[in-house]
Amino acid sequence: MADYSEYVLSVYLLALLLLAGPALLWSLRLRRLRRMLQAEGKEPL
Amino acid sequence: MIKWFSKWHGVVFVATLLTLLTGLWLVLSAPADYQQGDAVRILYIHVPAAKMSLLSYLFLTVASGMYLWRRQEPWDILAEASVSVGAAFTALTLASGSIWGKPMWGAWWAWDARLTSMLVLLILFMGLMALRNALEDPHKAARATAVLAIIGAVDLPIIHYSVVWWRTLHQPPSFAGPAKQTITGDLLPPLLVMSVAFILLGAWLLMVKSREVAARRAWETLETERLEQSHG
Repeated sequence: MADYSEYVLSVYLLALLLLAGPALLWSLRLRRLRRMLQAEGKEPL
Repeated sequence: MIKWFSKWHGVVFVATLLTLLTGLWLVLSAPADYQQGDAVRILYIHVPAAKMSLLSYLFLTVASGMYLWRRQEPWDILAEASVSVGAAFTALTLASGSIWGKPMWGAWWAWDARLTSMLVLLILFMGLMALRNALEDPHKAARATAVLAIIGAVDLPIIHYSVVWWRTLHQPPSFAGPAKQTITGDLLPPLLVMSVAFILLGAWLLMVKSREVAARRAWETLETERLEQSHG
């Protein structure tokens, strides 16, 4: 049977990139916004 | 609702991580398919991602409908967040399907009914993002995107039934009820666990993105108030 491991590995890496990437970006943005809102005396979300 | 997300996102994250790790362990220990070999392991990502693409759009349609009916901002926040989450899952569905298609079909892409209707879904998600960013008035943007999202929902039954209505290269549904089950034996447990993991992951991503959208809007309101005060 042919070796498809490189196709499989590329899909799992892609999944990590497409799902963990935005999650990290949104979490960092949320942290920054929460800090900015807190500095203005607003209730953080 | 957003406050509820802030309270529970940690619990959902831990549940997601545990389910995902269990799913990956099952994926690694499952045997290779007798025809597809190890390429079958791609489907443990592709199928749950496809389910989440449709589920995200369904959620978007409900949130958009609720916003148009009630005109309450949290529904619009959920709609905006579900567009981003849905776009990520749809991009993963198309890319993983394409990577699976090359060794199995001998082509990266085919203008098949299922693939094309899924591409339309990605274009819809991108269009909704573009429309929201193009309109300056946030209320107008919320209304316009909600209307477009509801119109675009016509693509959901087309995607789901495309493999039934037309002769397609794509195989029939993986979960079609016990009578028409197309995946059985050792291949089913990893697929089921990965599907649950992706549902939890989708919920957690929606929580994070909704909180980010709410915080961004709160900051923008503050900036507008400041600007008005400085001009007044």
